[in-house]
Parts: sequence; C-alpha cells; structure tokens
Amino acid sequence: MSDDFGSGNIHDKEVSRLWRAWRTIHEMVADRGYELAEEEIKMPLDEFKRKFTNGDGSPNRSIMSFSARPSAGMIKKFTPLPTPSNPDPAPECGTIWVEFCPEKSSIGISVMKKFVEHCANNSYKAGILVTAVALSAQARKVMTVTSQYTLIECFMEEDLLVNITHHELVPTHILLSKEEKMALLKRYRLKETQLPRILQKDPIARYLGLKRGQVVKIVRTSETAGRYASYRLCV
Amino acid sequence: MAPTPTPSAAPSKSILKKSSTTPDAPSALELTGLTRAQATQLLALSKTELKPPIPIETFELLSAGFPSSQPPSPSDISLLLSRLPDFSPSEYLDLIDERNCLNTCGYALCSNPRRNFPGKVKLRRSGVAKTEDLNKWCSDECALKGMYIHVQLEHPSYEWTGEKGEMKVKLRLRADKEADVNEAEKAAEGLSLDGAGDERDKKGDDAHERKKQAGKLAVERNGVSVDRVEVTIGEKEITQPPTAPTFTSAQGGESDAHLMVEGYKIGSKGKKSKNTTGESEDDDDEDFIPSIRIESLNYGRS
Repeated sequence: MSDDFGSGNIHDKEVSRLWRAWRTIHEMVADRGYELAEEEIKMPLDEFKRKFTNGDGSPNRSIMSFSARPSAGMIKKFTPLPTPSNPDPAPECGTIWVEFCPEKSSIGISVMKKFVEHCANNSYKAGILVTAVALSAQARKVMTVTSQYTLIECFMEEDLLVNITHHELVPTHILLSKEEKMALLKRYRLKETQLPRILQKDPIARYLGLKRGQVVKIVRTSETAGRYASYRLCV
Repeated sequence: MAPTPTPSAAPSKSILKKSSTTPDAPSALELTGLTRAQATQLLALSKTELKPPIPIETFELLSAGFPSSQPPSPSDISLLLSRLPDFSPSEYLDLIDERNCLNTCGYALCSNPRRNFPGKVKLRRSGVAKTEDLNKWCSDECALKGMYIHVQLEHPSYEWTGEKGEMKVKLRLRADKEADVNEAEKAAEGLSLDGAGDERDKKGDDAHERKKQAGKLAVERNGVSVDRVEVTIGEKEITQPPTAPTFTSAQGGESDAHLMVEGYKIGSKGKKSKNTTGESEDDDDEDFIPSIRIESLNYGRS
C-alpha cells in the first residue's frame, strides 16, 4: 500500500504466504496419488524465494505452474473393471496441471477460459487454478460448464495456507476404488444411497477432489476399539 | 377458497404441460377450443416462468471491448437494449463485475477504465461511501446510468414487443447531460427516450410523430398493431324547429296511447302481439308460474 515500510517487508509476507500455499498444493497433489519428488514438496522457503521471486523480491506466480503424472497405484485405483464389451478400460485419471494465477484484481471469464483452454489443448485430465482473489460469478460458471471434459478446480491462496489434513481433529480419508466400493456395498448389503454422505464442497472432499458417487473410508482412532472405519458417499 | 373464479381442470393442467412452448401457445390453444380470455391468461402465466440463465457468450460480448467506440455507436446501444431485458438483476450485477474484472467502467456503454480510489472508504458529498463500490465506475454519472438500468430490471415494467405478443422488460437509458445519447438512441429504431418529447416538437413533424406514437400505444395495449380508424365528425343539419315525438300506429296506435307507460301497455297479459318493445320479464314469469301450478295439481291427482 505505502512505500514507507520498504518494499522488501511487504513482499516477504506475500512470498511466505505463497510458499505455504505452494507446499499445501504439492501435498494435496501428492495425497491424491500423483507422482511428485520429495524435494519439490518440501522445498525450503529460501530455495522458494530464490526460484520464484523477481529481482525486487516480489513473487512471480506465472513461473510457479507445474504438472504431475498419476502414480501406478492411482492409475490402478481409477481404472474401471474390465467388462466383456470393454476388456481393456482406460484409466479415468491423467496428468494434472496446476497454475498460480497472477491476476490481482478479481478473475473474470476471460482468465478462466484461457486456463480451461490451456488444459484442454495440452490434454490434461485435471486442472487446478490457485488464485489470490475470488472468482467472479460467471467465471465460476465457466468452470462448471466445462468440467465434463477436464476437471477444473479452483482454490484460493488463503485457503491453502494450512494443510487441513494435518490437523489432529481431521481423520484420515481414503478414497475407495470402484472395485472396493462394490465390495463394500456387497459386504454390508447396502444400496449406494444408504451410505452416510459427504458434500462435494466439504473442505476434505475438495482437498481430495472427490467426484459425485465416490466413496471415502474415514479411519478414526477410538479409545475402545483402537481404530474404527466409517464410509461416506460423496454427493 | 380462492376469491377469483378458477378455470376448469383441463386448462390448468395444460399450463404446466405447455410451459416450454411459449411462442406458439395461442395457436395451440385455439385448437383445444379455449376461449381467447383463457388463452391470454395462459400466455400471461407463461411470462412468469423462470427464465433460462444468460449464456456466458453474452457476458463476453457485453464486457470485452464493448462498446467499440466512445461515445457508443447506435448499433452498440441497440445491441445492449436487445440483450439486457433478459437479464435478471443479479445477472446485471454479474455483468458489472465482469466488466470490472477487465478494468473497464461498470456501465455497459462506457469504455473508460474504472476509477481507482485507494483505501476502504471515501468521503463523498452524500456521505461516506465504500471505495469498493465507487471503483466499479469511471465517474459518478456512469454510476447513475448503470444503476438506472438496474432499478428498471429490479422493478420491471413490461411492454409488448410486436406481433409475437411477447412481453419484455421495458428499458430506458438515463438521459445524458449533453443529450447526445438521445440522438444515437433515436437512430436505434423503435426505442424512445423519456424526456425527449420537447426535442421532437422542434422537429415539426408533429402529426407524423403522434401517429407513430398511437401505433405504438396500440401495440402496447393489445399486443397487435391496429390500423388507425378514420373518424369524421360532421354536424347534423336541422331545418325545422323540434317537435315532441308522437306515437305511430306501429307502436300501439293513437287510440291506446293513454294506456302506455314507457312503451308498455298495462293490463295486456294475453295480447302479446300488442307488446311492442320486446318481452318483459314479468310476462315470462306470468307464463311460467301458472304452468307449474297446473303440473302440481296434476301430480296431486295421480
């Protein structure tokens, strides 16, 4: 705002916030099952500053984007069961593209469209846009309209300052594959709708990128039973 | 119980069914044999339906690089006025937002960059205002013009738009100080501006203008344009002094004239032919009641 305090101070705060968001988004991508190097996830602040700041110490968001490929385990989890008509099904996941939006004012249709087009042109199966400011209502609409082709997600930097899964009150959430889901329903003789539910906009569901119909296993610690598992259907 | 008489079950059922086919509703209704009143009622009901959301392309069209020139060209104005009536108030606010994202003034006919006041609040003549709100526009005048449209969308008054009988929200632009919009808007056909009447007087073709206005009024009232009916009023020539009317023989004859009260002859029950001015209700009753009596007597006997 004002230059009395020296530009370094102000940028320092912004850079460290950005670094925390960067770390959380990497952890999130890794938790979803994508392949990421350990040193990328656990990059120290000094190295982050060296890599992603301009000469004056201000962050350079446009060079912070990265992509990640799904790991073997994730591919296995997201591959539907082979059927007689489709003996060799393709996995329902692919490379993910993460971008930090340098826009400082609010984000409109044009920015969002550019991001969606970039994801589509490079055939990314999923895209995450990390923004410093809120999306406009219509930009949000663009995101949902085009989400049939690529799964587009948006996170605000301030939501990523802390990794919520590291909080002691947040139990472990494990995404079940289609096969595991069928086994669960069969084991308990349930219909899908008879499972407890979790909303798609739930912070954890957003963190894991749950889609409608997927089931998560929630493992909680219990004083009497040691551990106990419950299941939630994403709606 | 509803105070208004509700139509029968059949038309109310068709309201729900034909909700999607608004434009050709009247012709379909004619086939089903509904009255014109019912048809118009259905049409009016279909107007209250939820409108589909504005497509994103429209937002793009009206936000990026719009208007193409400053001051806006007539084509830009007519484009805006053709698209805006479909907007809901919140969608209009979205449009303002969208334009602000591109750093242009929120008023859709202004291509200036928006203001950039620092801080959270700013002292204005009218009091304290949030800079967030002030920075949506390039000037106070644009703010007034922009919100002028918003108010019209929030409290819509509808107008008929031509042959199809569709009603849409009536929108007027706020008059400019220099009144150059007046000229531009008049060029955009069929759209008039309030407060532009005095300008028209200057033009001189008053009669032509009035005729056009009357046509528009007819469209607004009926939904169809009606050709004006020429009415010529002439004076009736009177050649001789007026005389009191006299009974002619067809009205009962001069002999019975003293028995007539307002064209009816008292005490002439049997002689209907003499009753000249049509059937009276009394006569009907008189005919009706004796027959019932006779029937009841007959029933009594059997």
